[in-house]
Amino acid sequence: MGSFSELIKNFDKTRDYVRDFFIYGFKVRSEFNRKSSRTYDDEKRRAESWLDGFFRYVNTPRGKQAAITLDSGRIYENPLYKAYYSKSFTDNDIKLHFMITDILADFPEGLCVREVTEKLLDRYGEFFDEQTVRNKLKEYAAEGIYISIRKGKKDLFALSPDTPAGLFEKFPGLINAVKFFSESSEFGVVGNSILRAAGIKNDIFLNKHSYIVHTLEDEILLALTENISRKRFIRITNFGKSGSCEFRGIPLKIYVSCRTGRRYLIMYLPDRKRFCSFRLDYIKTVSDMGECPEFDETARDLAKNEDKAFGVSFGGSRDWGGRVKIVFRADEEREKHIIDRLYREKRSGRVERTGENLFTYTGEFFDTNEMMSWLKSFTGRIVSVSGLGDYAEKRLRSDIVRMKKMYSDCFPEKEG
Amino acid sequence: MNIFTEINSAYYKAAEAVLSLQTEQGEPVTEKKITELIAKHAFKDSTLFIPEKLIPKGDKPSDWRLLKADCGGFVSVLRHKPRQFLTAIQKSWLRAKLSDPKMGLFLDDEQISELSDFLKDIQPLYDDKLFRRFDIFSDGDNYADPRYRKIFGLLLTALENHQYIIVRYLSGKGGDATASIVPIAVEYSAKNDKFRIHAVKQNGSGIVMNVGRIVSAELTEETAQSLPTADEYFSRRRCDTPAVVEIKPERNGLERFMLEFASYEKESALDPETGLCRARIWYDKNDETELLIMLLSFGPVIEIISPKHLRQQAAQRALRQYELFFPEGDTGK
Repeated sequence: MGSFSELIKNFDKTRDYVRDFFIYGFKVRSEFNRKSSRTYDDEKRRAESWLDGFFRYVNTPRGKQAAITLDSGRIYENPLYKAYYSKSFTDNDIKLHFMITDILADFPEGLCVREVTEKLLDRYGEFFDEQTVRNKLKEYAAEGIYISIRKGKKDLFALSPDTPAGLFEKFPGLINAVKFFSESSEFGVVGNSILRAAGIKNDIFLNKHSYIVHTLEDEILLALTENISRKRFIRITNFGKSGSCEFRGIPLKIYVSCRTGRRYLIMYLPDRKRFCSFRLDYIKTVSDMGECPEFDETARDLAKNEDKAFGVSFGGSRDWGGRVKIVFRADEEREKHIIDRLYREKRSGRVERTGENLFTYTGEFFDTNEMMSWLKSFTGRIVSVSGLGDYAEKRLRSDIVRMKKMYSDCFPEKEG
Repeated sequence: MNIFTEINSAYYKAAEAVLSLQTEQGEPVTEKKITELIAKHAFKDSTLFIPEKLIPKGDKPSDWRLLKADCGGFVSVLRHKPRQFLTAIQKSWLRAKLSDPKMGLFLDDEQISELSDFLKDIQPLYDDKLFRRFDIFSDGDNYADPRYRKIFGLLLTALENHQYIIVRYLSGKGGDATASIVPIAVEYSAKNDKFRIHAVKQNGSGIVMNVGRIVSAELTEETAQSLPTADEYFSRRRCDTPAVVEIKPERNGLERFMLEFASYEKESALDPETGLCRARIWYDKNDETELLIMLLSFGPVIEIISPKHLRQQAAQRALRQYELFFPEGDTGK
């Protein structure tokens, strides 16, 4: 294990392994067939370190099974944020980080590159060439840690006056806000880094439907939101079930399922003349391909079509679309909670009372298949369905027949 | 902007903790103390890696050259205690969160405007309009409601100070009730877009209520003498025995199940012969109906094996649905 390192250069491999440990709790070593056993061992060791206490091992006839198991609704801090704190660095990086900051603390008016370089040698006996020091100063100025001041022909660098502690002192209520938002699905890790810098931990807020594994997609998410905001054409590399593929298109929106935590890029593909969705956990790279003059027009087209997407599908090569009509039964006096469910979960469909204890749901969607699992969550209350298409309707009925058979031991009196 | 940067490295954090302690105490730190700080601030195995980079050995300086040997211990080469910064990406993230109506639960309008002013030159990290949460429930809490904001603030104060707070709330059945409670945790559901409070009543029993159902709240002077920890509180709510389900190898059911139930604590075992996966799921007793609905949404791909009452509820719903679809009896399909 001589070359094992806790630190990593990028997320690609790690993302896949952690997701597999997290989601497929039943795989054994030999089933992680992407790379060598050594890679598996290293990735597992890293994940174990980040998720200390959440790993569980079961010996099975197939081998030892490693899984991450936790109730994410009962944890105050996403343990996978630790993955973001594992970026590798050089000895010079860490030296310059602490030493330059220490020097600049004595010069609030700022120092130029040469002065910083000289002081590194004077104070700490560390010789660096000016270019290395300049790069670090510029990098830290871009990160907001230093500020750059133009004085005559010189660029001076000084420490930024803004600190997490200073901000929290000025806005005490912000501590709880950052605690709360640090566990939110949109870049919560950044909030966590603020708390960490201030030595504070979230000890108040829990997230009931929280899917912590998706934080590993945040780098990809950031690249996508930046490109969308800047109205760019992009190219993505997508690793789906059928292997790796490249797609070029206009990125428009991020669709989020609050039920599963999955996030999708919605992109217009000019080659196919259609909107398509891509799971963020399958996207490996995002490349900026230049300005997109058609962005606004395409975004308007998407806006016109959004209500017809029940989930993330804009239809496919087969015609799954249609105008659906579903009648549900719910006792108006005793089952108001069911009626409430229909109204709050209807998305862009319509719900109307169409008879005593009867409620009719109508809507037009590109892909009615996406409705099936929602529909089945109302098992026992669906009076009739139409517009789902022959295939889906037949399948729904045959599913109910199968379920009745599956649970037949629970109602023997009905069987005779 | 970078999320994944060495500036946030756990190794930097560990080094910073060592340098800070030494500067604060003004005396050399021991190797033992350094190891303790590394274990606290970095990863599980970091004590195997960081000491050799940080601690000088004899006359030989260490790779990082941040410490030097002194009087049997180690002292910082720095003149100052390392400081923390609010980075550009952190400001940008805060700027984005300022547009979230939930920010009003933590800051009043004046503070929000002051913070906006502080961040006025910063671009938000993202625009929330880029996100479409397509299956979010439409009856989320109204975070802009001044009464809601006030009640939320009082609940947070009560939680932080272990203070009793008298709340009047609408019960699930539409009735009106009053309780004196100490909040234990605040829970947000992104799916429901609602906050719930987990609390303990004066008689020691637990209670969960939607903040949106609380009509009024009044802080008392009384503080709770002893409260269960969050772990104790939630373990009381946990099911006595896990639900056992069987997932069939069809329609990508296994992956869908694993993803949708990723937030649950569970154990799974796959039978390679049959492809069947058996999973045990632990859940909050009060959320059993939600679990049932989720399981039913998989249709025949998931069979609930136990507990018996959960299996029976699924069976009743399946039978009722069968009778709705086939009022004349079995079709033989």
